[in-house]
Amino acid sequence: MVSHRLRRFLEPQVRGPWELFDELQRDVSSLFNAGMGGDRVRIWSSDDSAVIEVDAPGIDPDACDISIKDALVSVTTAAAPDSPEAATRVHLRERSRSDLRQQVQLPFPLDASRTEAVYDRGILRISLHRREDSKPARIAVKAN
Amino acid sequence: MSTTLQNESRPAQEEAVRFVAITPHADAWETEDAYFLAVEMPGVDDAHSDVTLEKNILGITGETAVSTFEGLRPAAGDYRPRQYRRSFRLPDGIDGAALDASMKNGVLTVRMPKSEQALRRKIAVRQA
Repeated sequence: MVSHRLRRFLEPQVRGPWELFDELQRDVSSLFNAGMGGDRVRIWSSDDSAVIEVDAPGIDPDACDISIKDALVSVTTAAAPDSPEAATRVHLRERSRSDLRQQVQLPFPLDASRTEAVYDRGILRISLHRREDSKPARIAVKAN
Repeated sequence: MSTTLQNESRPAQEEAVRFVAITPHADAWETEDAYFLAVEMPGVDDAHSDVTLEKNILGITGETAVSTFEGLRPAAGDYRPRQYRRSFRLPDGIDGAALDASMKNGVLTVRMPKSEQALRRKIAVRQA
């Protein structure tokens, strides 16, 4: 709540007719939202596959960069577009203007060739599979 | 096993309490003839977003589905469905009947044309 007010103070150009009701609501909401969910990254997994979801609303999916090194997945999403040039005045400016980089360490090495990524409704969804040579081998026990 | 098979389900009305409440980030700006609002609601489609205007309060809500993947279990992050909710007090001089809202890539954009009266007043000032 303090940082929000500080930011408003430091960016006087965002002040406008929107702010009073909105700011009050944000302050009240932040009391209830503190520490509650809303994670940008979510992970589902099994012993040999995983899905990572990254919130990335309004980005250009062609500008996303996904790289895999062993068990480490690095995702960089380009910043959301700025306000249009036709804007004569900016009232609120909360959306991120910087590229976001997320890194996820999975418990097994990954097969990069089987990785798929889909961008849907502002969510980047990455499907990953464990590298075959890292799967535990089953040893048949022979009985004498 | 495929991890690309995704199933989406939505909590029943009586389970609405399970939604995680989020106040979404937004941009607002104006041009010569309209105000614009862009609200980030990743995971929301146009069928599950709602824009209301009551007096000069613009209310925006959006709900996401529950993501589940065959054979996978949640490992990290808050995977509960989310409900985005935020209200804005609009300035005077907006044509409330001409609001236009569209959802693209998880961003709800609302265009609010300035009223004829507001535009006329603006033109008059320019000519003075």
